[in-house]
Amino acid sequence: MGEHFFFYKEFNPRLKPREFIKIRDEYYEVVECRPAFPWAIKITKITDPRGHEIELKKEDLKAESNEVLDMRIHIYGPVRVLFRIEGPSGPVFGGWGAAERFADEDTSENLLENVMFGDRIGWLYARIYPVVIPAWCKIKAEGYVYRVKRAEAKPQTYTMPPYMT
Amino acid sequence: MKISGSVTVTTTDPTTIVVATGEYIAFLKRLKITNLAASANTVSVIYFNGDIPKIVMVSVVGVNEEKVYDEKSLPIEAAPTAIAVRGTAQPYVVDFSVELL
Repeated sequence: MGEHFFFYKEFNPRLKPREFIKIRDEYYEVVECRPAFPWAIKITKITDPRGHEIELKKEDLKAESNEVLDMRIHIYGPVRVLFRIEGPSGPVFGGWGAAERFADEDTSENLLENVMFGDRIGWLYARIYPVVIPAWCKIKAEGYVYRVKRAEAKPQTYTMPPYMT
Repeated sequence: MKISGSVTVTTTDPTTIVVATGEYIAFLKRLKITNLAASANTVSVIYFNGDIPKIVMVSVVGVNEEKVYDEKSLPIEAAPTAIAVRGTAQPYVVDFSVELL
């Protein structure tokens, strides 16, 4: 049953084809849902106690322009990571409770879920602080891709996080 | 994924036994050191973070002795770049099982 027995919920797709979502006041219909190709990055020799900055979009953690990416993130290594949700105009407040979140190796994956639309809305920025020097870090993301197309206004069947809507 | 191997070391210099490429990190799950040298051998297990070495474990193995370490007695941390061994005598054989994550 593993370590997440009490509060663990399996990560299933949140949306099905023919469901509608709202992103930035526009409605989109889900056309296709598929598992995302797993993404990971490893950073070695982290020595600066002020943190190592990394824009995860530039490391290819992003979706195509007609796709919504829903990923759960896991961290390995002796580091603390400050994730920040970014949008077209800098930091966007909202998200799953907060736009910034500290996480480390012990943070459960279901507490580190992020939704992004294309490479414009909801992409992530990380600042990695070493706990020991030199430190290393691996960040892994797995989840689902929803291909969407713009639709007429319809009732939404799934509440997107505030920074998306 | 899990891999295993065996390396006969004939030098007292650090010898790399596993390199974790790309985004992989390596967890040592089982280690057996067989000393074939004519004297006792102090073998260090070294994890590399980039090119920075860190000795994570030291084992003293007597003449013609073998020592086996399972998951509970090996370092719990992962090696981000490579795993190497270095002995004070040679030759010796290192058998290992590694999980790449």
